[in-house]
Amino acid sequence: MDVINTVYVYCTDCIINLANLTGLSYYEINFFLFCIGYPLLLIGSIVFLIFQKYRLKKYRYAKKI
Amino acid sequence: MKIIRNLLLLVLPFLCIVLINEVSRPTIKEKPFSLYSNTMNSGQKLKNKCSWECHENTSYCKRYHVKLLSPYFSITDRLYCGVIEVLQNEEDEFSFYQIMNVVFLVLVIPLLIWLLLAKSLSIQDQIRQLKAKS
Repeated sequence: MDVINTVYVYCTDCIINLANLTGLSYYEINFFLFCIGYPLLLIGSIVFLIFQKYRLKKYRYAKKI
Repeated sequence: MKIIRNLLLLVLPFLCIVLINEVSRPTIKEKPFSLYSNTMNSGQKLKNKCSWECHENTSYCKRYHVKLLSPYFSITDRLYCGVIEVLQNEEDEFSFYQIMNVVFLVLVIPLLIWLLLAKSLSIQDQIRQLKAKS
């Protein structure tokens, strides 16, 4: 539990520090990171993987011909 | 080389967290917030910068610090509170919220993004090898 608490506090301090460094606010950094950034990155990396698999399949098929 | 690239992808975001905190640490003059252990920032209500008060009291942060998103509170609040509600349990225990935060936002989601990216880059290597052969 202590480890979880330490990690949580360190990460929250990081968000507060990032807010103060960038001139934005804690609310805005949280919003951009967890409501916009994470979903975008997650969906983007899934789409990228599907696209890469499609490209690989296409190259393998072209090589067979 | 691939292992180093993949390891860097995994470690880089965590290094950024450490870098941000350690660059900021010498500039913080206020007394650390005492409600939790090992905090770096103050828990005072500061109008010129964010502190743990913004974590404890979202309305305070929105009133004094938010500028960019202030015209869109009707939309952003729904998403912001939605994420918080997903991570909370019915009893509203803070320790449960902390665990869920660390597990999902620090471990599971970044790890999932890393796995997907590492797999995509590995496919890119395979494509490059196929191109080189033909």
